Amino acid sequence: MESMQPPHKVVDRHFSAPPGKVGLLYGEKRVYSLGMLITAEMLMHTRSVVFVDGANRVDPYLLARLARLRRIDPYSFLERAYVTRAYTFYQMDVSITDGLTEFVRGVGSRVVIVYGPIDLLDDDQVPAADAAEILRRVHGTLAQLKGSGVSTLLVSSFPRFRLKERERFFDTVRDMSDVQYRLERRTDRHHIILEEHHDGKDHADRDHAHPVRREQLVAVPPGIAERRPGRP
Amino acid sequence: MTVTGWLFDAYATEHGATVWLIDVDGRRHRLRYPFRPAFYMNLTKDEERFLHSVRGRLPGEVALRRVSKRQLYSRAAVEVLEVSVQNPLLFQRTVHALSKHFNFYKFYGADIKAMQLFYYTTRLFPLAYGEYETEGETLTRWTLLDEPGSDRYDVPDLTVMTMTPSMKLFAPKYQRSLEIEIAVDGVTRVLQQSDPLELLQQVDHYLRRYDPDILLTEYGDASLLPLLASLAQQHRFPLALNRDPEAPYITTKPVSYFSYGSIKHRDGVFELAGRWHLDKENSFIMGEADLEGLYDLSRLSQIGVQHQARTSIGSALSSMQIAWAYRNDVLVPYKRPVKEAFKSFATLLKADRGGLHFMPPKGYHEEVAELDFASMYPSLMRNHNISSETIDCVCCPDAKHRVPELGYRLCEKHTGFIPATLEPILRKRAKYKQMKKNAPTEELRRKYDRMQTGLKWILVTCFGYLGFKKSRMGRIEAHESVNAFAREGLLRAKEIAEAEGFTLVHAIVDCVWLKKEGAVRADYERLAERIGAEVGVRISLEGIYRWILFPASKMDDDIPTATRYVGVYDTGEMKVRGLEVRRRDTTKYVKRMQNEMLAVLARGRSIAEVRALVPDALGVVRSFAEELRRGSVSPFDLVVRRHISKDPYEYANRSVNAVVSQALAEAGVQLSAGESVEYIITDASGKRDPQKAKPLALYALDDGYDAAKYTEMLCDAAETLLGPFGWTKERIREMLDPVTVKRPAGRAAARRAAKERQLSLVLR
Ligand SMILES: [Zn+2]
Repeated sequence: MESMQPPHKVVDRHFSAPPGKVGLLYGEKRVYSLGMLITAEMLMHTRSVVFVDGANRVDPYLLARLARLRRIDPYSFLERAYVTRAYTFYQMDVSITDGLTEFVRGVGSRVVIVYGPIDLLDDDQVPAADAAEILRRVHGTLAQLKGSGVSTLLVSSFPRFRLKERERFFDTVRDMSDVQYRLERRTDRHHIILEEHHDGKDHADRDHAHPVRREQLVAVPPGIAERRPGRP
Repeated sequence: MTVTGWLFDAYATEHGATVWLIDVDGRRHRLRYPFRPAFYMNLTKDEERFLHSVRGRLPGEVALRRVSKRQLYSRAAVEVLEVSVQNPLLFQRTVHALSKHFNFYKFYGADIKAMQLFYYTTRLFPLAYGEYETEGETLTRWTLLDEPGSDRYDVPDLTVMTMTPSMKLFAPKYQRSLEIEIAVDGVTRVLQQSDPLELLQQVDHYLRRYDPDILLTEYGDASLLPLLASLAQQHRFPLALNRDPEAPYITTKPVSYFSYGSIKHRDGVFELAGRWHLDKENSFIMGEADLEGLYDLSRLSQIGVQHQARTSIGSALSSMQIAWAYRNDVLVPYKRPVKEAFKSFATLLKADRGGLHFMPPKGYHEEVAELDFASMYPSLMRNHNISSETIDCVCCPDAKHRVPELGYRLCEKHTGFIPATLEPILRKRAKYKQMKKNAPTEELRRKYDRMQTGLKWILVTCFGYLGFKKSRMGRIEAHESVNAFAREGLLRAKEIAEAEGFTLVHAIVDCVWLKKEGAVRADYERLAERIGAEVGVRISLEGIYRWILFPASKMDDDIPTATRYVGVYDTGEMKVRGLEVRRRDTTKYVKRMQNEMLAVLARGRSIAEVRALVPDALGVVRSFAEELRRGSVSPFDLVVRRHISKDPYEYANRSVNAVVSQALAEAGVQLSAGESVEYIITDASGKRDPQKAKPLALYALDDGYDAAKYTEMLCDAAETLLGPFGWTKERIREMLDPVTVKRPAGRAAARRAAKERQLSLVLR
């Protein structure tokens, strides 16, 4: 099934309802700008979005521009998007497992976006055993959020690691998610591919459960997610 | 018995620590000190029972007891289990064994070296002067008559023996045979390796005869000492490298490792017991601050002198912070850092701004004064009590003291650990600068300069972004806060200056360049005093420039770059920052040319006079280019140095780095990612010669060099200085008559440089 809907709208619509799920958006580097587009879309109908940034890709300037494109005061977006940044995988651990659920509850948010959930694992100084333990704890927190009706979108570019054996942790992250959106470039267009979907039994609201769909293609007009953000 | 003297060396043994003292009469004493390093664990009752049950299966014996400590960030008291390891050599293995049963976040202070724990818990420090009590061969207690932060102290007379490869052109790694030069007591001897056993006997003879406290080498870590040690082992020869015959060497292998997105290389380490091995080629701090600076840093950081010489400068401050934690019964986080507080994107935009820059109009300016804040960032952290645990602390919810723009609260009850550790450094550095100013002799002046330089490096390198976002006790908000105060300070300085009729020409982070018609030294000094008083950080007049140049950026022609400039003070002295002459990746030849051009331009006392000197400066360029074309430039002046990012055979392309490191690998020189290579460009395009460049060690004179490529480099460097007068690099190249020179006249060059006999000794 192919359509010309903008991808961020499609992902937002598909991901936002029903609440209480874990999604994975992955693909090439521009998934991060796509993530900002999705955020802007979400901020049109949700109270706030909370980021954990392990990829150093959160971009307030782009979000401000996206607000202006929608004729909205940039500060109304900038003040409703929150972030904590991580520069080591251990910081990633504390950012998610220590205080995230409380913060999310405090600001009344229904969405958490995690940029680069495993990007910081390409590091000799994080033993594989610690990595596995941290991911286990992260999974626990995501389940807790899910239980309280908060959705988490994990956003990851294809990890190309120098420490090759670390790339397998991508599978761990994939296994945490209920739904995966793959951004892919085919010939001159970008496509969003919905890879797999749980039957909905994990969802808080059974009635809104989606049927299993194998693949949904969304063509992305070339360049939509490519523009580099400039300063406002 | 009481030994009055200095703590010289200390290292871990299976029974505790061996401590060497040097007494006031110059006698050396080797003593034992019973010492049990400990780490801490925060366990539930069940986990604690489990720990007791696995205790017997640990690598060595441990003692367990409950102790009360404080958490770093919340200051909350917490009861933890202290795990003391009976054999210090098994400390890391014990942690490792336990981490198979317990998650990493249960541990505190578990990755600190046993010897560092010795210094932190005993509060001893290298070269500490005091009265040490001994019973037999055991050190029992001591009274220190000295403290780490002291700025006046004596150092014992230390015997130094230098040991260097006698062929200094190349690192020994590139050499097939070895000659060692030993110098002690003002006499130099050359030892040859014709017969290894003989060489060992000679080295041993001098070691035993002079029993040096310091073995000062070049390449001792990477090759000299490992080579001698392995020869000694092969021949079962008891070589007296160590002063302590019972102790092993303390060695690590060279490694390339990958961290935070970049490849790093660390040379191996070869440290001695009871004697210091210092390798000039493997010590940043000795290059900057010599032995005096090293001793001073070591005392302050409580890191053994041999180790301090080799470790990164950042670890000195980090060590002082950990020492603070042990003094204050605070748990040191293990792996688990503090996270960044959640902030809105709106706050992030304000917080992320970094230091303030006002871009200067590019080109030449005259009669401009420069005012510099002294140690601005550390001073602000001390003045405003900025520290990881003082920002938005739990104890001061209503704190009045806030960070400008960002509004973070700052603790008003407790001094943070960052200000506490900075205080002695700032105080000492100010004192050394003053002592340098008042020094009666040139020798003393230089000594205090070296000592203040060592401290300067701690202050400079530790306040980068990295220091905060990745260090175990750092916190990003501390970095944001100090930046916010710095921006406020700089803006305030600008306002004050402008209110007094000065014009701001340029400002970066902690320096301002100002101008006022007819202003003299006294006017600027008065202004500095006023700014200093209002901002709370000392600022002083660095000098008044006759002229100063802010060159255009090499990336974008229209913007000058903030940190590149050259100027001539009214004293005739020149100051250069960031230009080619100051850059590590510039060849000697280009540096020489730019230096000569600068010497010409420095004669100008105004912009008009500098303009008049442009033809002379172009003459310099012409003569350098001609020498290149004639092929008579010494290839050693054309050496390019670059870091390689991959192991030689990991390169998929034919870049110069790739061909050079592969050529070296074929010649048997093992290089790994992160190391640097030196080469001479023979054909940058690769059209005539696919080899493109020759590694220095394999270079033969008839290889020639790529004159056109090197001429291009000259033009680039010339444009930096003459661009404002319309001399772009294209115009300069045209002036030079663009005949491409294929190869230099090989024979003439060969004759000239045949004298450089070193080459023939290398590898071929
Ligand atoms: Zn407080």
